[in-house]
Amino acid sequence: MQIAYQCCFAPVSGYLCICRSSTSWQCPACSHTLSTRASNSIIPSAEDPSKSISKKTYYQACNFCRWTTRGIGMPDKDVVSAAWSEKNNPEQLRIRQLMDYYRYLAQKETAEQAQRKSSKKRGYFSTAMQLQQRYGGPRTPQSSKKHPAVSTPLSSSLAALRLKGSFKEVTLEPAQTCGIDEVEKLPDEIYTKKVDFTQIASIQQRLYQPSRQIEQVEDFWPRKSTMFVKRSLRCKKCDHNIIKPEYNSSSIKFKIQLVAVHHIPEVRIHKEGPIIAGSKNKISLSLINPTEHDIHISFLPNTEENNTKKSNATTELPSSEIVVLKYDEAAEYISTPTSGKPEMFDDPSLIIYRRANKIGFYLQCVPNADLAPGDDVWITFRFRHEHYGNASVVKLLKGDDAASEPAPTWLTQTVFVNIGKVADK
Amino acid sequence: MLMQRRKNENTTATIAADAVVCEEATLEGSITIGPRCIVHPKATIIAKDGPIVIGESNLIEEQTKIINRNLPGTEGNSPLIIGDNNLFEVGSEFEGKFIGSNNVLEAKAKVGPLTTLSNGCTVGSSVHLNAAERLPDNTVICGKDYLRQHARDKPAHQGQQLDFLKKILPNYHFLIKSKKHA
Ligand SMILES: [Zn+2]
Ligand SMILES: [Zn+2]
Repeated sequence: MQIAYQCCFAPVSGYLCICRSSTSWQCPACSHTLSTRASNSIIPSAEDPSKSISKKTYYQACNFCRWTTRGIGMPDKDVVSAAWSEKNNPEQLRIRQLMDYYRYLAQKETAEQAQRKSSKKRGYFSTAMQLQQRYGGPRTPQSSKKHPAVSTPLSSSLAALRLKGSFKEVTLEPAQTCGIDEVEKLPDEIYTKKVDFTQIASIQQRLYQPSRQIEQVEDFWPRKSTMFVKRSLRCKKCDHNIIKPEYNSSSIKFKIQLVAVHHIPEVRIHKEGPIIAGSKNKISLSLINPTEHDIHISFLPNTEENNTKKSNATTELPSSEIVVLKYDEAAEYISTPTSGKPEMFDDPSLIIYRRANKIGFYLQCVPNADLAPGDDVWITFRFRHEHYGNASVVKLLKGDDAASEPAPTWLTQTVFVNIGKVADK
Repeated sequence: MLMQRRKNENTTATIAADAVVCEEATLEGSITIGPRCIVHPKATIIAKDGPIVIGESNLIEEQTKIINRNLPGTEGNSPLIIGDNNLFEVGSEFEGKFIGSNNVLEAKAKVGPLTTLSNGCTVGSSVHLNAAERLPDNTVICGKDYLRQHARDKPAHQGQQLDFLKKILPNYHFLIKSKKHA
């Protein structure tokens, strides 16, 4: 049905409709967007048949599955913007008849209602005007030009109304049905014939064009791009926009300041080692400071484990505070530490290494004695660190004195780490 | 830069005069590379279970692995023959005994030793094949459901790209010098 495929910017509340232009088509085999390709062909010249000239022609091809309009024998076009047409729906006539009949019924019903109300002031003509307002007819001159077929039945019946004062009766033949005995039997070879999957459309491909439901690959025909819709999504807690509908993926603004990875120190496993259940294991983790401030981290035991995750080891956390230096963009390119800060004294039994904004440290854990070899070992702890938000960025942008550090807020993070599996004995 | 230069010493490669084979490619065993072929850096060609003979105008991109590997359960030394105008896109892998001409292995496509390609076949991105079959000419397999189609034409020829690479690659990479036939 033509109307269903029409590309439009119809306002759907709460949604943003996006459609490509009417020149956009989709691959019937894999539903990717088709792209127009040019090719040079040599044809004999019109003026002088003995000479041949090269001519550019255009066809559509799928970059993904390499389906082309040439493969099904669609003739090439001479101009890039040539209109590609969709195949007519074989049921179009029936659909139009049904539409006409529906309109007729609606007209009849409204007319009868109007009659029942029996206001003598209202003649048929005003009813017809109402009908026109309600059931279409030429809304804009453009649409009537585009779809004469859609507007004809009503405008013609309206014209008839004006003349005769009544509308034309529409009759409809009931749909053809057939009994199960009349259905053609399957050929005998259906069970024995080898199926060539490259020639038969998959069910997905068939239903992709419901009006034609192609069975053979050779009958494929490009399909007009369908309208698609994007919704905006809001955070359920604070009502902030999380996803904004954008026409183009490139116009989505990346919210750098709001991504946690730029604010919260990252915990990673530094080195894996064998883990023995029931005895003390030294685990090496590393911390990365993504912020532009030095941060002080102190560890706390995680006392309130939630129901979703449970640790199966007791953890002995470092008791002293760990300082992780700020992230310095230039540090990557400087091989020796030349920052003005004095060398830090680190306890080698706690700190494995310190490099720019990364630090490696040890902690001790005792996996529960009842764990079998191969079981995952989970440890949990919490750590506290300061967070400066983007106040300093705001200050910098405003040109304020950067020396006055803003007051930090202290955040506590809960971490679960799968440190590995219990080793075989 | 100098550190990265690693001599392909354990190879007896015969490279046609106008082929471009970057030195950072790994070549092992007895390999013949035909005229106008391009082998990008970090491509790997290993003649493990027999020699590899590569035809004309093949384009072998980065991280490609071409290995002459015997079928499971078989032994011996039989060659892997690769036809002309084949394109091995980034990260594609072929292990087996035969490829025809004008085939495309798209990025990260994998073809195991049981499958052979005839001509004009396209193995789509991330499609892994290793069924005992020989793909008929112009077969296209793509998508996560391995949609199989029969294309009317063979994939477009890579001529322009080959010419471009032939000009540009020597500016940035050392090449393995072509050796004369013994
Ligand atoms: Zn397609
Ligand atoms: Zn929120």
